[in-house]
Amino acid sequence: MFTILIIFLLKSYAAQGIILTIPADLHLPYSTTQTTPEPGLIVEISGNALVVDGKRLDVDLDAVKNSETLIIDVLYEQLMTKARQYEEIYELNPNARFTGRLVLEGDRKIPFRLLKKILYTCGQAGFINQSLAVFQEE
Amino acid sequence: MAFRPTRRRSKPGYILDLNLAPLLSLFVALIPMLLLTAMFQKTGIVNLYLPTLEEALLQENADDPVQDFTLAVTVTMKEISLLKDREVLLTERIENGLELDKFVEELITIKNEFPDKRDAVLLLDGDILYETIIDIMDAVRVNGDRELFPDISLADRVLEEG
Repeated sequence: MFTILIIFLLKSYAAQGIILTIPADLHLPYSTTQTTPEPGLIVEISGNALVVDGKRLDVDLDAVKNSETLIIDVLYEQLMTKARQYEEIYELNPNARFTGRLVLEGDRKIPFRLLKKILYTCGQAGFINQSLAVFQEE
Repeated sequence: MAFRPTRRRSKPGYILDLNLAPLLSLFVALIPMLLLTAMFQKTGIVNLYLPTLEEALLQENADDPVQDFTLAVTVTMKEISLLKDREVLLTERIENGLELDKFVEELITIKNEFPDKRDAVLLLDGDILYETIIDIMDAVRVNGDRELFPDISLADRVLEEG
């Protein structure tokens, strides 16, 4: 029994890349991509919640969807804080260069009008290496 | 001097006990380690492409103006169109679900004609769902093992006046 368990676990062993922890209520879309995730700031959008690096932001996404402005102020402030932290780390450790890498974990049902505002805000805060997290199709 | 045959071997029904304790202690260490690193649902990423200012300038002064055109895919709730600069190459209705076969064929034709072309832009309506965007990006990005136009940028579809 142990042997079967070990073989099963070895098959699903992730030897490379980082492991993205996806919350249970967040349903990522499926894609044929083979690119594995790389480390970066993680922004989650699920239902009506916006989470940056594990911290939930106080923002009403329905209001954001219907607003005319492209930039989301609360998100921008939080991202700028993160960017400043990365810059400070870089000053202390030149190997940890700030690459502006960002992984967006979005629910499959979010509309483009919300997605574009989030991507635009991230870009304005200096996170220009943007990736979209997906489930890989088997 | 010959040894006396052992009595143990000739004793019927005797089973030698394997000492499994070291193996089990290895399993006990391995299983939590593997459980922590296991991925039951594999995640991946789709990279977005943002052209830098240098690239934009480089493209303007490109030696090969033939490759220098904008390949755009416009998506509304009703239809999806493929545009080369402003010329519409193909339009498909998507009200009853996304059918991208003809669309992919056209993309392959363009790729055969311009093998160095790598970028494409998706012009989307605000109501298009994220999963649809990913599906369309997949179709534009690769076909089987063949890379088509992997550098994809997203943009808002702007309605033209008149």
